[in-house]
Amino acid sequence: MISLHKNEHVIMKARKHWLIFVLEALFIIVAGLLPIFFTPFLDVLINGLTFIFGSDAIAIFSANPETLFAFIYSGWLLVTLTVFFLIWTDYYLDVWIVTNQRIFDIEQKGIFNRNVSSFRLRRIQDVTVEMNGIIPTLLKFGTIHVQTAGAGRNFEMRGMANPRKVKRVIFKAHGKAIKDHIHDGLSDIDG
Amino acid sequence: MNDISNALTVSITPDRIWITFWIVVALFLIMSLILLFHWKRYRLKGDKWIPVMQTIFLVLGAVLLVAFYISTVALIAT
Repeated sequence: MISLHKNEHVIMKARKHWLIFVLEALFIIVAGLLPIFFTPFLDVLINGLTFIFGSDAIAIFSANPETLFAFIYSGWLLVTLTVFFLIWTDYYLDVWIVTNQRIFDIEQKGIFNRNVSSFRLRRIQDVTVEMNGIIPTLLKFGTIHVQTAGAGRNFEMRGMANPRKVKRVIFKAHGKAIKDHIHDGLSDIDG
Repeated sequence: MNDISNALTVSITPDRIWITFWIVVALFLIMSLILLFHWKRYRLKGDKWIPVMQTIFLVLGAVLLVAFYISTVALIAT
């Protein structure tokens, strides 16, 4: 959870591209669907196991292979469903939040590792966008780097969706934040 | 071959099936609680995807739990 200052509002939220999530989740989708392709070969599998272990050892397999398959597969689907949503949570909670005063970099690494950093917009010195390759260019995703003034670390997000749009929004908000800051400073002097 | 067969033979008793069932269910419930906690705790204001995914997860999870229970009972009945 992030807490905003008084007069601070969210301008945009930027996440990684959906393709990054799909690629990460692909193996678990395949793992979830794979057993279905083995169902036509259940008899072959049972004959093979009978040959190796003998009929007594695998009596329960040969007695009712469909029920055993349903038992194993439904249990397996429960596991894959959980892993799929863990991957989605990891993807979805990894976000940049641009407000009119700051940028929040929320990094979700796995399920128990969360890192939230923020920096003031007026401290930004440079924003760089990298989109290398055909697929990132066509699907509009890439890496965004934000360099800040002082000894603070630089911020980056790989695979961000629409990084050019994010850069435009950051620059616009940055300009406005500096203007407001100067205006506030002058008001203080006048006052 | 018989020695290997005997060494690898694990008889599948109803007790062992129930134990497997409860281990999977317990793991699923623990992970579900962790996910639900995360979605509640770290949800941003005006977020529309978390409630959608939460509903999908809960519905699919409930359906699969029922299917897993029915298949367990059916397997024991054989």
